[in-house]
Amino acid sequence: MSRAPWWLAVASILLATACVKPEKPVPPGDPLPGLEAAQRDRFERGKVIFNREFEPETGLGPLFNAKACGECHESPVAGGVGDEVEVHATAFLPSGVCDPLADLGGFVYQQQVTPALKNALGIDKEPIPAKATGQGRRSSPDILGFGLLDAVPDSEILAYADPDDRDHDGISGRPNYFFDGRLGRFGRKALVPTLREFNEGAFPVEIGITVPAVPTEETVAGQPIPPGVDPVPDPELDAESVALVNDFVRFLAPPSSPNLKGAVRRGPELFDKIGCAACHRPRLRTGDSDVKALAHREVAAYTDLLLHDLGPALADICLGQATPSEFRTEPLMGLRFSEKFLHDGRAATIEEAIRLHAGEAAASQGRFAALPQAEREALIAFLKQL
Amino acid sequence: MTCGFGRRVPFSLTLGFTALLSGAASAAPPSPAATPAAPLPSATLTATVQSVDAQARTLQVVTGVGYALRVVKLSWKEAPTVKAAATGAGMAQLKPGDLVRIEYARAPEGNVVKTIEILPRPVPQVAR
Repeated sequence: MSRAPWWLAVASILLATACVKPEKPVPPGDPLPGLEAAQRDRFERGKVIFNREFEPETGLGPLFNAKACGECHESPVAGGVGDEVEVHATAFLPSGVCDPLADLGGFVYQQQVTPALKNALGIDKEPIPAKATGQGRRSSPDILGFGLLDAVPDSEILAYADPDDRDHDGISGRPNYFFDGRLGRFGRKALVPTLREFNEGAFPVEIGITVPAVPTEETVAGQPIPPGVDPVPDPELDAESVALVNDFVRFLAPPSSPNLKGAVRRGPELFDKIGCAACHRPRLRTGDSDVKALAHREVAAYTDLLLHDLGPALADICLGQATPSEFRTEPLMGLRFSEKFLHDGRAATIEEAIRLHAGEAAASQGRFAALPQAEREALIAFLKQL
Repeated sequence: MTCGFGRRVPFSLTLGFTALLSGAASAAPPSPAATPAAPLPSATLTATVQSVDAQARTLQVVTGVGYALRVVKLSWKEAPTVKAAATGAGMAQLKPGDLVRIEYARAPEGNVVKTIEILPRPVPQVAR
């Protein structure tokens, strides 16, 4: 093979550099760049339903956590974070099997009831069964860019898995699976395989709105809803409305890239150096998609979508194959919007959240603590821009 | 059928589950004219075993959509065919946490198991 002259190589690099357009920042809450007009239209129509507040007369409850999707995903825009915290409970059996308490109303225990249910049963929220061995509080994360996470192929997630830590780096990474055996990725325990299913299931579980895919109401800790309490016929929301909401969520653009100026420029290097990137993988790549704007894109997700053991202090519920101390690596994209941190919002600052990382993350946490103050500050400043 | 993002969900699974949730599995008794001879509608379901009561010949499995989990109750009359990697598998071998594919008939008295296949848990490939 003949060698190209050196000046040609240099010219090619210069030309390529000159042709790279700087990324135009997308404001939070905007749709993905590159959507077709019809897709943008569905995004806008879906947003209206996402923010629609339901009442008992339109299907709300009788058990619910919020009156609208946008009540929990609201700051700074629809699809952002919320200050609501919900409660999950399961039973981790001595055999090591996780019982999601599905026959006892689990695993999401709704924190509000309609006046009609309160009158009928005298309860203010769904009671947690005595059989539960663990309870977990769950904050409301931002969901910007989740359509891209949805489009990451299973093979990419599984490629990062190392359940037996065969490379002896102290980081395992275990996939979770849904109850039908499909790979999970959404939710703090990586239970749910697809964004569509996560959204469809959220209507009945979070708002008490039945949909065609889930046309039956939640039970009250396993007991059926008393007659006359919920007179709205099921399903309470039609398939097209659900599909529009799903399109709104999956077309939400991810947060714009961080502005790496000054000391913050050292952030990515430090993030990698102390080992955060072993689980919070900075980049994932999407695969094929019926939506061109979602296909074969790089997403700055800062997650591997796998389960990692974070130690006994954070342990709460099991779910699917996840043990109580295992959590899916939280995507850090959108961290700039959070005011409380970790899966249950127990950490008031990012520093505190890092300090609470144990288990597989203990070594990285230790390396963070050992950094000079200026480097710790640079890393935190970088994280605040994600 | 696709999930909308290129990944596929078995059509039979979706159809079977939706039918179960919508109450089709416990539909009204068939008309007298159709009772004895008409074959019962059947469906398949892939789910996780929640509980087994061999004496009562009942089985509960967990499935659902997202966080909306639902328990499906099934029973068996005659010993159903149990397919599993291990030989000599029977209903007594089933235990909570098993991943199963069930073919069942939608009978007037409820869902009746025809065959159960105990599926191996997926094992991730190690690529690093």
